[in-house]
Amino acid sequence: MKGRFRLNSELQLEADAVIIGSGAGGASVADVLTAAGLYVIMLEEGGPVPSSSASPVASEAFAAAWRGGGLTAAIGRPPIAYAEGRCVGGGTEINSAIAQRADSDLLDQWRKLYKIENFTPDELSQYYHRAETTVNASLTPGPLGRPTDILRLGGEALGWKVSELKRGQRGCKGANRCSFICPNGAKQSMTVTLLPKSMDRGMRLFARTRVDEIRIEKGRATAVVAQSRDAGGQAVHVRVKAGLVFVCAGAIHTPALLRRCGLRKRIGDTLRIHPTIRATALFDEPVDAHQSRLPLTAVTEFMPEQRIGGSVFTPAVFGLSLAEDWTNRGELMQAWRFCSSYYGMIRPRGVGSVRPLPGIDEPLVSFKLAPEDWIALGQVLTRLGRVMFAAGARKVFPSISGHEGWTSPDEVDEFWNKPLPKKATNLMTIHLFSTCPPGEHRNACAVDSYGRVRGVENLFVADGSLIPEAPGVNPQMTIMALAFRVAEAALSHSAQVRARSAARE
Amino acid sequence: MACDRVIVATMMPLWPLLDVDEKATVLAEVARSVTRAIATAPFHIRLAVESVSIVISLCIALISAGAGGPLGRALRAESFYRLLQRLPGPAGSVIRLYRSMALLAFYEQPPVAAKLLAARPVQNSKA
Repeated sequence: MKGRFRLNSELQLEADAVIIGSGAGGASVADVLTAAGLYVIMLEEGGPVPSSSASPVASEAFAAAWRGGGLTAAIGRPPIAYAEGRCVGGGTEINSAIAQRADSDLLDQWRKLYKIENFTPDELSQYYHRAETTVNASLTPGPLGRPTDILRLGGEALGWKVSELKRGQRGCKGANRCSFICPNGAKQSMTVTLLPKSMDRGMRLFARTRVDEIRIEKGRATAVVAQSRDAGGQAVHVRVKAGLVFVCAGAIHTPALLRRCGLRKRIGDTLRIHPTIRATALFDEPVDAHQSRLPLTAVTEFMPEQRIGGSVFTPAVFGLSLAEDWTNRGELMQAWRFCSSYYGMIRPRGVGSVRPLPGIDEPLVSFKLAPEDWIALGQVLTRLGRVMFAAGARKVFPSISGHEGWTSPDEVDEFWNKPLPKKATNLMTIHLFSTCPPGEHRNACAVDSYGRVRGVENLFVADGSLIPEAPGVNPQMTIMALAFRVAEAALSHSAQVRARSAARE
Repeated sequence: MACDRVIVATMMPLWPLLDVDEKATVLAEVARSVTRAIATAPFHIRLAVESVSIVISLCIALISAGAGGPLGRALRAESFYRLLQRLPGPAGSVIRLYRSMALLAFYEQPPVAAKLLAARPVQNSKA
């Protein structure tokens, strides 16, 4: 083992590569590097949350696995609540594991706009395939439950395309706790798939280890400096020297870390998200969504620009959602068994930014919706209302504080041609990307076509930050595909560098 | 934190009905859960919440004086929250955050969850 303690509690380590972050990006990079025989050290800020200790109580699960316990928001008008994983396995531990590829036309559009080399849908296909195989992307067997049926019936009644969603799962038991860490290990998250594989190949994973700095000298990342805790809870300084450094801390913390290290050019300036608006539908018959899987269909007719889907429903999470307008909607709680919540998400034109704050762990995140985003949000909300009524809803409550709810399909067109009220509209997102867009267009791109940070030979980005713009689909497959691609390119580049230096000698 | 308990006490839902002992236990647990959630929030959110919550809880204590029982206090507090949410500034967001955390924790409490699941599935009149 290449590590030693010094008397002043500094752990000095050496490795071929160090990976910061253990989510979809970091775990995919680790898979490629360890398979090539490299000795890898992975640093993860969050702690491990094994399936066996996953809490069914949402507030405990949020505290254990979600960044800031789920209390994170992008500043803007309105503020947009966002969620990120902060545990071993990152976002893959708390997402719904929905496996979708980015639209081929979009990939082509990004390739041209950002001048990304070797980025055609055909060239990316092998990486998507690897990602899908890794997580066993497949349709969930067995009955999917009424929340799924509602979306399918509503979409089909309107003649819209409705798709059953593949997920990274193996033997899903329908615990309805995808967002709280799967208690059965059925979700094929990174702690179930790639992390154990890489650790079997010798990778060393340090959990509860937060990176403070990447030291950069003469155009090379020379060391990663972090703070960890030993078994007794004592702070330990960790310093890792490695030939390759991969930053995979997600679309918020990757740019924040790079900017803290003085790397600022076009980094953290182009945050994209999927702004998402919810609606709650009340039905005449019990839905009992708490007993079902989360909705596993989506209205895909308007993709990639807009998509309608659903998420995990429990009585407590439903109660939480009513907080936005408790005065008017609190009584809905008494009919919770008759309710189901769905969402509409858009691909926005607006952008946001990420800025580290001196001395504070969490960066300042802001997002500004463009005028066309407000139109798109009004449209997707209207369509969401139409689907709910087509599926038999008696009343639909859009996520707008003070709104009395729609009682008939004729009322849902209210916002088709009229902007949503900015102050009263409640938005959230779980998809964040694009803070380090790749490509050779130097005025627009933070990193090169293969994720290498400009001006630093051995420093790479491999996570959601690399997705050039909002993809309009769940991003995990794209994150993994791009991370596999970055790791392969880094290996090849590092082999070329070694060969050149050997030739010189 | 004492401020959290003062604010959370005014946000406890009236349904499902709890007996006096259950109410006290649930309130203590919900307040503890809210305090824990705020402690894990990012620094800038925590700073805003903690500074605003002191003022809000003081105001609640003042306007609750002479309001009678818990229901009267809750009603007065509710009017106050509605006013705050109409005003510009962070107070509205802080109220919303407290309400979110309080509701999440409330409906997760074992006696509440048991009553929710046992309740006959009947729609209410307003819905």
